[in-house]
Amino acid sequence: MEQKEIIDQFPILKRQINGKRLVYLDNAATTQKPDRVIRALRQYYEEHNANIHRGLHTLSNEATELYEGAHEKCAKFINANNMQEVIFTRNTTESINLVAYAWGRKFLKKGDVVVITGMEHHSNIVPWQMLVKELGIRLEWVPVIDEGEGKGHLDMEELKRIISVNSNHIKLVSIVHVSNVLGTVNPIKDIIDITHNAGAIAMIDAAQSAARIKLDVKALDVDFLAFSSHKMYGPTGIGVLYGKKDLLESMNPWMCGGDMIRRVSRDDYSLNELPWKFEAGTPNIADGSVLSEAIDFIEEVGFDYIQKHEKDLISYAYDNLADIDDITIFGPGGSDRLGVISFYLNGVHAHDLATLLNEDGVAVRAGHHCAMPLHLQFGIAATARISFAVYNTRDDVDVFIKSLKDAKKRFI
Amino acid sequence: MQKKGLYKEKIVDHYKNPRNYKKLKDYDYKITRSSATCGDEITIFIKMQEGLVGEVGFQASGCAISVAGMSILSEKIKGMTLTDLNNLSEDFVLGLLGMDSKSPRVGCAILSLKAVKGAINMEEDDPCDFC
Repeated sequence: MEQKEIIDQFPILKRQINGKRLVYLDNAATTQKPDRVIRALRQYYEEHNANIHRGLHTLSNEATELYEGAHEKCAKFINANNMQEVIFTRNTTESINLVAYAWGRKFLKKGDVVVITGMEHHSNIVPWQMLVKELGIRLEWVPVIDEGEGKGHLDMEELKRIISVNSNHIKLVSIVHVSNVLGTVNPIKDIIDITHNAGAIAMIDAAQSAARIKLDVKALDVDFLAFSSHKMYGPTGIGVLYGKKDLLESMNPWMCGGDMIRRVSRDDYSLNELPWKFEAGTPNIADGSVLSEAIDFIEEVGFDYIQKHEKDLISYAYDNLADIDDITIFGPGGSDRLGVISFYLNGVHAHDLATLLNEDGVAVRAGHHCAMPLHLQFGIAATARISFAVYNTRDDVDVFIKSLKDAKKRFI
Repeated sequence: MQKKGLYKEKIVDHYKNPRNYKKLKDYDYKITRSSATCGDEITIFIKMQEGLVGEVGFQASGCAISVAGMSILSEKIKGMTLTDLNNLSEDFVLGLLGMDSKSPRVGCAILSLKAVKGAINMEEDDPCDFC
C-alpha cells in the first residue's frame, strides 16, 4: 500500500487547525480513525442496531453476530484459542482493574508481592496500590536505568533480584510492553519466562504495542494481556482483556447483572460462560463490533509496513530533535524505541510549547502522561511528547521541528 | 513582534522579566500554591500597609502563563484592600492576560489568583512534588 493511500483513508487529516494543516502527533493518546471504521459505526446504527443475546428477531441476531464476531476476530488477532478468552471492557485501564478486582481480591493475601516497573502508566500502578491498602500486599518496583548503557530500559538484573529475594511471595508481575513515555520496548517474553519460573503469573499492558507489534499470546505464554481499541485506529469505549481460560474460570465476576448469569432464582444464580461472565449489562455493542474494522485495517496495512514506517519516523524525528541545543530527550536512542519521543526544551515549559505548536497546527501532548512516578525520577513535572501512527510522514516531522525552533526563538 | 495567539509580547516580557520577583523578609501573608498536573508552583508574599497591599513579592517555577499572570497581577493588587482582593474574579485575571475563558490554559492563568486569595485567607500550603 502506498503512503498516500493510507493517509487518504483518514478524513480528519484534511482538517485545518488555526489555518494550518493538522499535523497530528498525539497518537499515543489516541489514534485517528480510518473512514471504514467511521462508516461501519454509522452502518451499525442505520442497519443492525438491537440488543444482543436476547432477541429472536433479525436485528438482534445481526447485532449479536457482529459483536461476537469482533471477539472472534480479536482472538485471532492475538492468537488466543477462541473468544472465550477475550473480554471486552471500556479500555486498558478497565482491563487491568478487572484483573485487580476479580483475580487480585480473590487470590492475593497479606504479604503477597506484585511486581511492577518504574515506567508504568497510572492504570498499572493505582489498582495495585489499592490492594496494598486493602489487603496488605507488597508492591515491588523494577527501576528504569537513568544514564549510560541501557538508558531508558528496565534494570533486568534488579528484576531478577526482586523475584529471587521474594520468590515465595511473588504472585504477579504486571508490566508495560511499550512505554508511553520512553518508547522503550520491554523484553516481555524473557520477563514472562522469569515470572513463570518463579511460580507467578504475568500481565502485559499492551496499550502502546497492539497497533505496532504482532501480539501472539500463545508464543508469549502470557496470562493476562490488556489493550485499547482507540489506540489502534478503532472506536473509543472498547478495551480488551485477554486471559488464559483456566484463570478466567477461576475468577469471580466483578460486576453483576444482566448477561453475566445463566439462571437467577430468588435464592441463587448460576454464572454465564466466558467471556460474558465478565461483561455484565448491555455492552458497548456498536464500538465493540467496529473493532473488527480496525483490526482489518491494521492487517491490510500489515505490521511489517507499520513498524518499518514508524521506525523511520522515530529515527528521523529523534535525530532532528537531538540536533537542537537545550533539548533533553528521555529514554533510549532513536533506533531503539517505538512509538513515542518525550523531551524537554530547557527554558520553555512543556505546556507553553504545546500551545505554541498548536498555533502551527501541530498536536502534541504535554504533561506527565499519566506516569507521575517516572517524571519524579526525571525530576521534571511535564515533558512534551510526540507519538506517531502509520499515517504520519517525514513532512509532519519537518513541520513540527520548524515550529519547535520558532517557539524556541520567541522564548529563549 | 505582536504575534497572534496566546503569547502576546506582554506575556513573553513578563515571563522573561517577572516584576516583583523577590522574597519578602517582612510580610503579613505568604503561601505556596501549585498545580500538580502542570508542575506550576507559586510562592507569594504580601505586606500590608495601613489596610492596603503595600508590597508584593513572589517566586515561581512554571509555564509562561502562570509566571506572567502572577507578575502582572502582582503589580495590579498594590493599594487594594483585603476585600478588594477577595472580590477579584477569574475574568479580571484573564482580562489582564488577554485570554479567553475557554482557553485550555485558564488553570495556569488563575493560579496567581488562587495564590493571592489563599494567602490572605491563611489557607494551607500546597507545594508541587516536582518543583
